[in-house]
Amino acid sequence: MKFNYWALTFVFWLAIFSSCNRAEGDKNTPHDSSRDSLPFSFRDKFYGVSSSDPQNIWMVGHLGKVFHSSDGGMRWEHQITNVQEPLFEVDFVDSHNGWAVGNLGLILHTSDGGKTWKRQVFETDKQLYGVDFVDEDTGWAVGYYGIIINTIDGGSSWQDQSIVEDIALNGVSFVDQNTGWVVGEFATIMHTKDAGKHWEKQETGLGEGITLFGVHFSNSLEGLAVGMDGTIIRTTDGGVHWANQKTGVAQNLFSVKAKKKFGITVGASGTILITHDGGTEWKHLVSSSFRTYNWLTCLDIIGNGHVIVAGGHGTMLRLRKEDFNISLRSPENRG
Amino acid sequence: MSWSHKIAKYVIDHRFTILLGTIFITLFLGWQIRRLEMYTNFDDLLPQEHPYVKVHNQFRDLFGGANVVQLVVMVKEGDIYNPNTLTKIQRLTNTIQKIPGVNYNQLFSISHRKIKNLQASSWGIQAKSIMWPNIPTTKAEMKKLKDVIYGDETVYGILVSRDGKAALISATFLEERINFKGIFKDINEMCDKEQDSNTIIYRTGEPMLYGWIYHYFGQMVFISVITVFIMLSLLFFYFRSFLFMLIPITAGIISCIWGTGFAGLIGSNFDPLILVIPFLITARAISHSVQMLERYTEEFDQLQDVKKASIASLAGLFPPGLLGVITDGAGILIIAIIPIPIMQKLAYICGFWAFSVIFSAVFLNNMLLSYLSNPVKAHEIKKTLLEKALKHLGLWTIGRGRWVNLGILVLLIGVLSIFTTKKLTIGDAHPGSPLLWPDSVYNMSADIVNKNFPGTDELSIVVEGKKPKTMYSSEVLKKMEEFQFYLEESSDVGGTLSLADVVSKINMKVNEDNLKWAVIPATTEAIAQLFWVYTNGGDPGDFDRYVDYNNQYSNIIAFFKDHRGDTIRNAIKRAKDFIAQNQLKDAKFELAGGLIGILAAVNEVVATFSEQVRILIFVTIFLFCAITYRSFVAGFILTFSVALADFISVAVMAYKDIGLNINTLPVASVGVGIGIDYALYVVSRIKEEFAITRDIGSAIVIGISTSGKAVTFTATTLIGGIIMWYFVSSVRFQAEMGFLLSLLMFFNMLGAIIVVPTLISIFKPTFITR
Repeated sequence: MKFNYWALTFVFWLAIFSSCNRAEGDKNTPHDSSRDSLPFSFRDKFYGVSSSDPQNIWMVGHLGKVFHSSDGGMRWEHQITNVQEPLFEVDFVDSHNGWAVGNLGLILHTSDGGKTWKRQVFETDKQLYGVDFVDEDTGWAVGYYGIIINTIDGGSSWQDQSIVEDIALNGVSFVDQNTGWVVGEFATIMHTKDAGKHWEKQETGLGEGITLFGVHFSNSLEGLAVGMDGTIIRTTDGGVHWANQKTGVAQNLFSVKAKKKFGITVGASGTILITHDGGTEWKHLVSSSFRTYNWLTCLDIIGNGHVIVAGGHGTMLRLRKEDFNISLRSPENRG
Repeated sequence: MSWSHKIAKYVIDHRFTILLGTIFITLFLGWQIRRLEMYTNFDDLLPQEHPYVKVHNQFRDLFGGANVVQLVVMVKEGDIYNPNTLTKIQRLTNTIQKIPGVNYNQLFSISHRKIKNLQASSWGIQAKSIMWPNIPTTKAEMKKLKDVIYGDETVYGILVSRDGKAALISATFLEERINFKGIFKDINEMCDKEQDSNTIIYRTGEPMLYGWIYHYFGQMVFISVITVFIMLSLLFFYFRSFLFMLIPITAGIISCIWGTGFAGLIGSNFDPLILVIPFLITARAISHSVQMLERYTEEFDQLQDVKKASIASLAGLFPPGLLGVITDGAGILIIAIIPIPIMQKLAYICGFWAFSVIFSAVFLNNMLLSYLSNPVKAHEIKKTLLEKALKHLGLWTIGRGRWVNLGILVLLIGVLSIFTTKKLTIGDAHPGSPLLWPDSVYNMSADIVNKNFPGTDELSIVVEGKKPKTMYSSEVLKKMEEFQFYLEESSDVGGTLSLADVVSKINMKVNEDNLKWAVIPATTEAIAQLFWVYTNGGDPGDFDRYVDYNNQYSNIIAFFKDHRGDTIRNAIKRAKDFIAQNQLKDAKFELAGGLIGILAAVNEVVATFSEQVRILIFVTIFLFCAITYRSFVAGFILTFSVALADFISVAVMAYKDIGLNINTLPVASVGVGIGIDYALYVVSRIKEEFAITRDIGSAIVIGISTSGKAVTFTATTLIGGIIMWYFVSSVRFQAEMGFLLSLLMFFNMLGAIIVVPTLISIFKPTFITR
């Protein structure tokens, strides 16, 4: 028999290559390292949230971070501020103009919906905890050591309206260009009727040990303030009388907002309380699908009645108006 | 009379004396085996001069080392907030403290006294253990515990999973002479006691991994014994003689006694994971012995005299045998250039072991054969199918197809060279441990831990202050926090911890528990005040995980989900980038401790030296062959054959995602030289036959059908035994190394019986024809 060495050559190399291919077949599936679609980290802390309309929402927080959503809170993008200091509050009057305040007297302003943020200057090293603008020109910011500052030109210049007492002021709410309230340590509520030229203290009936963290007035008469140990106080006469509301919770409450008869407040250990009667009766918002224990520090009722709540550990919750079922938007959901 | 014939004659003439000497040495070294200890010295695994390892060693007692056991107590139904589960966590925490070697300062669990929560009261700030000494029993106490845990970012997500269904107990063990076996036993005993129908306890960490390796060591040895039995059966099938079956095994056993005895003599320990290397050397001893037997049967057929046949076979095979052994030994000694103690120990012990084969296999084999009174008749195997096939193979290598073969070989080696350098992973290629299978208990536990907690593998970045109290600096703490954010941007990082987190937490607590105060204060004075406030309400040692007592050194701990080579390289690169762009006035960041840090050091050393080792081994083979045959062409042909097999094996490693790490590097390096024996025997035989026939073609055909037959048989015998590892071993490392070695042997066999003869046929080198 004549041996075909060309055939042997072909068969030999075929065998070699096919053995190598078999080895390839056992290759492992690559490690999936895809991230959750939300850009928040477990380390993020959010301190302020503000919406200009049902779609456009901004959140600010630790290390100068600003996030913006243009679809009502479903997707978020990181906006560059070029600051590392924490931002404690944000307020937008329309989809273009907004202000954020923070550590060491930091004031940032945007006139293009947050694409660019520029510093505004008021010489102070005190923390600014609250900011509220009634239009694109007029606004107030409050903070540590009783600081209150005001602008009537969109922040190009700021005037000092600070109170003399050494009180940390945590929240501010104005209903028009003249009428507003600030809240802070020692159950302090200060009220102005003349755009901050004069501030007068209002009696809350609370003990001095209570610090108030948040305040919101829907109009010149109806207002809510929240604070330590589950404190909620309510007024229907512009603050002449404040009534302590029973909440049944001991957690600190940090922020409150109201729209008509609906009100909502958030606080420590994932506390969320809602009211449907303007603030007389408050109930825990309980969802069978979700419970957070994270600190919740800020919220805003966006135009369509939905609510955005945010806080520690990168928590952002989007609460729907229809049934107040919570769509979880927190890093806790990450796989 | 040639020099090899003189030596052979001397050995056989003085066989009694030499045999007596061999027996004496064997007994002496056999006695030394009692001193050999089977344990893993953790420090031996690390390149001690690498900067990362120096940092790790300096701070491992302060901030924790790499040997961390992580226990996850997980409930199937409900959450951990019930007295039954919390009691289990408490008992486990208390029991693990009693295991010898545990670093008390580096034990973390929600039921440990050091894990504290700050509480503001009328008297100031108090740091209270969150669940010590008692566990909550009432509903209100349980709710309070929940609030405390979920409000503390050094606990929530770190020691309790975010869904509340699992709690982590983390214990670091001191690395000096760590007892992996003991830890593994104690941990398993205490965990097994606590498991019930609703509670599973997952166990992971390096001590548990090594514990599993020790656990499987018996199986590894058993598989090795079965491997030997398979080889014996194949030997018997080939030689049809009990005696000829026993002689190669005797060579293997004596080689084994000399190697392990030498290790005992120099007081070295034996790591279970290097078992593969001694097995490989023993397999070589068997391989040499089979060559001798095959040649002996041929010589006896011609000479019909036992003693003359012994001298002739030894004389014929002594040059290639000696060259093979020296090349093997030198190749193994080259591994000593890798500055990792275990590599150097391995090089010296296994180098000696490899050199000893010249006595245990080459000399002893022929001395034993010379004592046979009734030599084996090997005629019946002469005309086997194998011999016929090899004859055709010989004709093929000298035929017209040889140029095609050469072309494809050159192309193949070029393509593989490019491919392997790009694809081969330095470090581990798989998540979990590549030493065990993905569905092993250990790797599945690691997977559970990684899914529920930040990660099983820690990277420790030390922050070294220039003077005491540097850690009061706002700039330093803020930069640490920024570093943490930066690290956590990577999907490989599950979370980070540092002193900055603790300072933020204290600041928040002293300021009405308001999250807006969870920031680093702006001034040194404010931070110092926070330390003072905390210290007044806490205990000494509460900050041990984060900062030293002088507040000069601190660290950032980043938790990683795996320690694959790519993960580690990415982590170190990102950390270096951040450090380069963020220099501090009062402190500096130092890389790197923890498991990720030391593996980064090992991987860098492996990456640096693996290529050097391979190149040096090729150079050694080239030089020894060139000098022996007084021909550079000889050096080139033999090195080419070995390099081809090596490239193919490395390509297979890359394809199968077998990373080049501290465990696989020595196997791959020692494996490089495995085929040189095969090629040398074939080349020597071709040279011998050319001297007789003066025809290169005939010499090649005879060489392949004689020495090539022994090579084929030896390789298939060893592959037949070792390939079984791939299918039966519970230790993935052993299985993959079995597969890799089988491939190496197979391709080296092809190199010896196809590549080398083809090259000789084409170039007709003078070292054959002169």
